[in-house]
Amino acid sequence: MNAVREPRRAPEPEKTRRSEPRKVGAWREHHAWSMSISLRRLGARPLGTLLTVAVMGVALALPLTFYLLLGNVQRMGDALGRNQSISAFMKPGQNAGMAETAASALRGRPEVADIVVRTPKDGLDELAEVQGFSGALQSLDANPLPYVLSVQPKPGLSAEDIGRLVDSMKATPGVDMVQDTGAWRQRLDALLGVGTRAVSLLALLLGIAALLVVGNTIRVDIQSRSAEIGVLLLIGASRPFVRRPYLYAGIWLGFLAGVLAVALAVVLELALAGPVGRLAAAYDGSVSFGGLPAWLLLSVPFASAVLGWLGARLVSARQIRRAAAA
Amino acid sequence: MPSPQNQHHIPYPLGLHGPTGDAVIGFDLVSKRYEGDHQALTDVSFSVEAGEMAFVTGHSGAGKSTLLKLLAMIERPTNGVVTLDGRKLNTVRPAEIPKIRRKLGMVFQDHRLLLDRSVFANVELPLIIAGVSPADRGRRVRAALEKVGLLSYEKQLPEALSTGEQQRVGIARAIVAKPAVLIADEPTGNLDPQLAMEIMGLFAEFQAVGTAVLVASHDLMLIKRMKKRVVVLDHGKLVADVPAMEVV
Repeated sequence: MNAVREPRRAPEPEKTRRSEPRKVGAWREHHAWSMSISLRRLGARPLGTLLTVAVMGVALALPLTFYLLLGNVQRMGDALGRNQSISAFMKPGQNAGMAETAASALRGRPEVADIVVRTPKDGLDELAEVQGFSGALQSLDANPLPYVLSVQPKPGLSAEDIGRLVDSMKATPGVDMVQDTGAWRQRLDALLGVGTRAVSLLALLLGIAALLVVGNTIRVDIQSRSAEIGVLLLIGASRPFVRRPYLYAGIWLGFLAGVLAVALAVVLELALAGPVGRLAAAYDGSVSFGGLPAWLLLSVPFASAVLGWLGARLVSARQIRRAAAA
Repeated sequence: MPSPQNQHHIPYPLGLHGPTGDAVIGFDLVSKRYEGDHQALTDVSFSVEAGEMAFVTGHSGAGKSTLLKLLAMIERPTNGVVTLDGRKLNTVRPAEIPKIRRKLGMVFQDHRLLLDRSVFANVELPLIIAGVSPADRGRRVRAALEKVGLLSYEKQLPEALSTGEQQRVGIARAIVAKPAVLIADEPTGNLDPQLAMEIMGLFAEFQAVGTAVLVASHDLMLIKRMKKRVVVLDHGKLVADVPAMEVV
């Protein structure tokens, strides 16, 4: 009787249909490998990596520095603007009671922090203190100065609020003329608005530049590895698998550039702290130097990493397709 | 040993014999026409079963490499059906190609090793792609390197190895994930006869453990010495399919 020969079977290949825990394990292995290989590749060409990180870092440090300067100008404006009052000159012939009535009417307004009624005598005394005026004032028969209401607006008012307050002061009975000595503050606010917008646009442009720098670095890297990509695809790698190390490279480059940008900004901050401190002393300490907020410093490297990932993502799919076709 | 001109043995009528149920590799009336009207293959039909080793031979331009490219899904057939481990490759979606390729171990004439990675890292690649854990990877890579006699070279870069050793690294990479099918395109093209026989001996060992092995080669001396099945192509047509026992 002939023995029945057991048919030979092909060895079981690596399973293509995986269970869920195995899929997760494979996913984890792929990412761990991609992370380490991308770091090793960056480390293998230190000069290229350093230059890319430096260009990106400087590009990202610029808007941070402008943001720091703008913030401090704003603080200075706030500090100096606190002492700016609006003066209402009463009509000639108005007495103390009329001036007090006008002051009481204005005290009820929500924009007003404080009102000081300055008598004609107070005004004359102030003028007398100004060098060269004392002789001229002695020749006057009567005090020609009116009562003045010195109105201190509440801090943080908008230009519209101030405008409304000035209008109401002009409309107060007995008031002859209103002089807004804080108008310069409105102009500063407008300039700061322009500056803020300019910094935002600059940050956007430099962010795009950083993204393109990463994109170009990754593009060149993929081009130089087209043979390797071909081999990987032939031995069963999927395109996302091939692409992943390049995406991680973008993340590392972006993160390192963000750290460099923060370091540069902090160095500039320290360099500016001294001169601004001296300026503060000149204003009786009413102005102080403000650094970049911690949340911003902490978030820059991560935002920059996202930028790097986007740059790598932008070019990698297309470049890998080209490399595979080649 | 048949020559392309001597069509003395065709074990089944061409075009009528498709892949059998046990076939791991199957070509059924497969034709391939490249752009520019170059007909690389015409109605080629044959199959290779698990644990079988076959040579594909013929002169330059006979269609050997095209045959392997169809199996590796680098090219698609113009007509006919190519099957791999029971799966019709004609209907495979592009996203499924990597999974199918993982069933194949491929050995190339020029090795295609990554020159900036160590021998170990090169052999490890298919296992990384398959998502094997690092501990298993280490064990299996060393087993594959031991199999090809290069365990002591695991930390070397490929450039530090001889051509024959590089080819063996390529073979270790091809077999490390235990593929169902091993295909090789002129794997001994750059090797001296003794090294070529050693490499073929390795292929025969993989055949013995159940792997289907398909080797494209024009080295007739080597094919004769191996005494394995021979599929002969001439101008893209299958002109002879000689069983192992009839190769002399």
